[in-house]
Amino acid sequence: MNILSLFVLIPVLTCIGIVFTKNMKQTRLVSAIGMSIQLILAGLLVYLYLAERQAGNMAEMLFTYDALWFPTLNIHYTVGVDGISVAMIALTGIVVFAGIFASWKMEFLSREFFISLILLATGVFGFFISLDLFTMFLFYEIAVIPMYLLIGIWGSGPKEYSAMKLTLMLMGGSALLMVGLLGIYFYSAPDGGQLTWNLLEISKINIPIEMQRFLFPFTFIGFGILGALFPFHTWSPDGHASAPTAVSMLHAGVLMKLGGYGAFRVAIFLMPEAAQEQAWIFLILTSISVVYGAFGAIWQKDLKYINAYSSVSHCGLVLFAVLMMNQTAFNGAIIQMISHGLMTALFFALIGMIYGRTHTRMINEMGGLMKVMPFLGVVYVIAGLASLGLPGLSGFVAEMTIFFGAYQHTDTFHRILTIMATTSIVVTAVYILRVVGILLLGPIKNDHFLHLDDAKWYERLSTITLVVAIAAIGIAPLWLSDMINVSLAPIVNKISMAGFEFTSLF
Amino acid sequence: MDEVYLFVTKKILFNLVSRPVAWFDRHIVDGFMNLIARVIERSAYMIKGFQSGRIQQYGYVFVSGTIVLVIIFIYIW
Amino acid sequence: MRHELSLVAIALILLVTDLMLKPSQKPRIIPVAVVLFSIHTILGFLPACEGILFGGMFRATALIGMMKNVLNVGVLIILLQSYTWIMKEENRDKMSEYFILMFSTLIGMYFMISSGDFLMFYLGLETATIPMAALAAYTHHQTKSAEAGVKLILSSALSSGILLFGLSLIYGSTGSIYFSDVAQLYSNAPMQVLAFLFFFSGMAFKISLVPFHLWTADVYEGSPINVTSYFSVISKGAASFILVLILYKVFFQLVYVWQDLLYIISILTMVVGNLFALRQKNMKRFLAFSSIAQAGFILLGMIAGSQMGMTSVIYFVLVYIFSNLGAFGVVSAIEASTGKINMGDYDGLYHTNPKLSLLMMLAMFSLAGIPPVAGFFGKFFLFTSAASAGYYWLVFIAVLNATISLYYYLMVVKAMFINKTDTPIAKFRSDNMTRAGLILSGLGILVVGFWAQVYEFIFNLSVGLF
Repeated sequence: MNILSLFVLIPVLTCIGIVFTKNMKQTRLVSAIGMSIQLILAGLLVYLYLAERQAGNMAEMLFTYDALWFPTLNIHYTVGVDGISVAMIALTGIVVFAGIFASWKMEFLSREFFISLILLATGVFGFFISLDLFTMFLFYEIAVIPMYLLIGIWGSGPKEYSAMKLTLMLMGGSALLMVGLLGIYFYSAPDGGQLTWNLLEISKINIPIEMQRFLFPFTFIGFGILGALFPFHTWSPDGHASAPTAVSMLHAGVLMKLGGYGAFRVAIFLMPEAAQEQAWIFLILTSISVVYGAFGAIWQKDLKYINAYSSVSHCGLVLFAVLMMNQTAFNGAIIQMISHGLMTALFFALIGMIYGRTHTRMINEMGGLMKVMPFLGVVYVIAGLASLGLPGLSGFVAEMTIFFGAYQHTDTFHRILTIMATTSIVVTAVYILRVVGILLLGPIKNDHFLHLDDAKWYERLSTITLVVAIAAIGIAPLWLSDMINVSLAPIVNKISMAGFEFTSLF
Repeated sequence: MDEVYLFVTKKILFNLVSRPVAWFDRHIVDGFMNLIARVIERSAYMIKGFQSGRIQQYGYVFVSGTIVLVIIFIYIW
Repeated sequence: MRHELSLVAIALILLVTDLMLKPSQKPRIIPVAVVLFSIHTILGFLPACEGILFGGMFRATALIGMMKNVLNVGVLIILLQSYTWIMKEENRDKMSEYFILMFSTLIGMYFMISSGDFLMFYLGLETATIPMAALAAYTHHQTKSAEAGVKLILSSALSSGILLFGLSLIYGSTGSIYFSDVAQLYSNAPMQVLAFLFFFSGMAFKISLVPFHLWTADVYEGSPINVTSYFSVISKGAASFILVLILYKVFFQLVYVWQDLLYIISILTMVVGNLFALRQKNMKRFLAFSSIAQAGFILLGMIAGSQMGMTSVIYFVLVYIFSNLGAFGVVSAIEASTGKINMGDYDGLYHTNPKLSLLMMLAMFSLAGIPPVAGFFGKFFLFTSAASAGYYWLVFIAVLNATISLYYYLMVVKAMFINKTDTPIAKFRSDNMTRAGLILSGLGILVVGFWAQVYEFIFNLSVGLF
């Protein structure tokens, strides 16, 4: 059995196991066991991957497995990972694990809840291990659709509206994506050979430039919608605000990363010429995302909305970096995906826990929570500091790398956008510190808050897992960026071979 | 110094930038997405009349549909 | 000929058995019919004998046999699902008619698919249509059902008239009605294009493509629900099969005409079908309009004009049979036990009838084309074939329409899983036959997609066509 296939098999088996459970306690136990195995497996994968690389295995993808599925269309089930996907898988493992514990008290239809949640995770894991565009797309949609039920049934507020909006917009994105992928498939053998869905094989050929011009926007926007590309990000605030805690965590933490990862792996990697030609349009859009999300966050009163807008800003930064198209920026983009995934999951987990106690998410109704729940308060501050890019935590590493990469472009156009994007750091600091100030410090506004308790063991487990990961990246970023850098080489190679000078446009 | 800080954050950053951005996002960008949904819904109501339940009308539509196709494909195309 | 002979034999056996049964024993006809038809379905999968009969009027190939098998599977599921309804007191005195009428239309469809010339084609078409009107008016004491029957017979008379006019023009301009001759002699002379368009609008009526679809909603709503599912799945599937066969085999000289034609019609069909489906509250009408939109998607497979296109059409119809019958089965089970038919009645269904709701959800996802159920694969391959001919924008419009359709399919899911009500449909247990039908369609939805051999099998059969 290939180790990567286990990443899909274990969640499926866990789901089947949940079907046979009798009550909530059993259900969450089975889910926790399943996802703990998954987390251990992810750790094992990182170790095995590094060991292979140490041993000098320089293949582009490791642990590959290939099985023919639909012979006539040459659809395969092909899996394989490089440093980037390994990192993403580890991220997913951590967030899902934390998510299970964050929803430890899910009483209403708990079986259905955990099945949908784990199904979503299956889709995400499947997406990251796939090398075949068909299976990639299949897993992508599997990851999106459980969101409807998760938000619609267990959500809060205008949940039906938000769930429908989120699902339809993301499915609209996959409409664009479908056209892009089909186009890539039919031009995957320009010399008349066997058409293929295999990512690596397609990367060896050059898709005709006219087709690239047509297909790139489809593919990039298709993935971009999931990565909250302006102006297609509006599903994000409503969706995140209405979703239950674990779903917000998973969605902002890993599902949105599918967008960034896909835009990078499929759109940019396979169509570098068109990417370079059209990058300026999307760079403008993503810079808007970055700044606009940050400013949007300031004005929000609801904790979840603040975090949702901040996700728009941070995920915009991922796409921004991806479009800069050099090694440093790519590296920053990947680290940013992981860093943001961890920290936004932590935020949503904390918001869920605070909301579970105070029954409000409006910041102006809260205050002085540090005194009543010191553990949650301290973790909130850590999350906030990571988010605004304090050195020693993951956010700093990611943003620094991105801006270094972006600044390598010497022309005015890129410089202006980069400087614009950097201002978002300041704005982020404003809203994070403001929230921390109002929420945790200051007077206690409601006597009822005095009797609230601090985090339970499962909540501590959930948050500490995430904090440890954030700190690990912040303190020792090199092993992560080394792991990514090795795998970036072939991608950067292909892009530089495209031989199109960006500056010539301006 | 405090006044300057408060002026910059409260007045400029919060009220002059952030508030319009938040409004713009809710009403223009999101409004546009909702508008698409609204337009689809409206047009669903507008074409209601075609389904009248009268078989004569169905016959007319059938025959005229055929004629339109004939015109398109023989004369125009 | 094996399919036709054994089905005729079954119809005759039923007729004779019915004569010998006392009125109190009438219900025994149901197991007889179901068992005989199951045997017939299984026998259909034996290796087919290929050949030509009646001087070229009738032909049998492995591909055509496969098409008939696909229809058989659908009919079998419908028979199982109609058990509760047919056992009702009001249908007691005409049980065998239901089966005999249904088998007669099926025989018509067999002949239509197997036809080698336009005469046999037309005979099959009419044999399929006229008993269908009788089926629509099966519960004739209900005004709506009687109205449905009359509407169907009147509008199909009109469409047959135009179709026949087209056929006569084809004969007039080529001097032959044999498919093989016509294919050789056809060109894009205006009269031949005219003849083709008349023929096409007749077929478009059967598949209920916009603007020839108006009869659909009324007939579907008025007919008994199991007859409606028969119309929307079997009749539509058979008509799609013969249309794709004739387009590819007979009118391939006009390929540039019919590709443009299908382009326009498919967009119209998807958009109009979706817009109408959006605001339906009655489940029967809702499924009727959604099946119009689905027909638009089928055209995307046809437009490719290749082996891949042919395969994707047959495969999609197979998937569509399972998914639509899953949906219809649930609606029919609920109507038979509680008489409720509106979407609003489905509120909170999951809490009282979880299995039915899950099946309904799978069926809805499959119809909307959401993985991992079969509908995703069906739609994906249709889109792949359209893209293989370079119709990227058409694919884009189609996927957008699939997204719109997801909206109303999700409305059903929302009603069952999310909406809360004080008066949900009470928990009930269907009888074993109905359950077998539901399980069969559920299995199909789950298995057919992942099981790549199904697609490959159909693909290999389609080779002979080119």
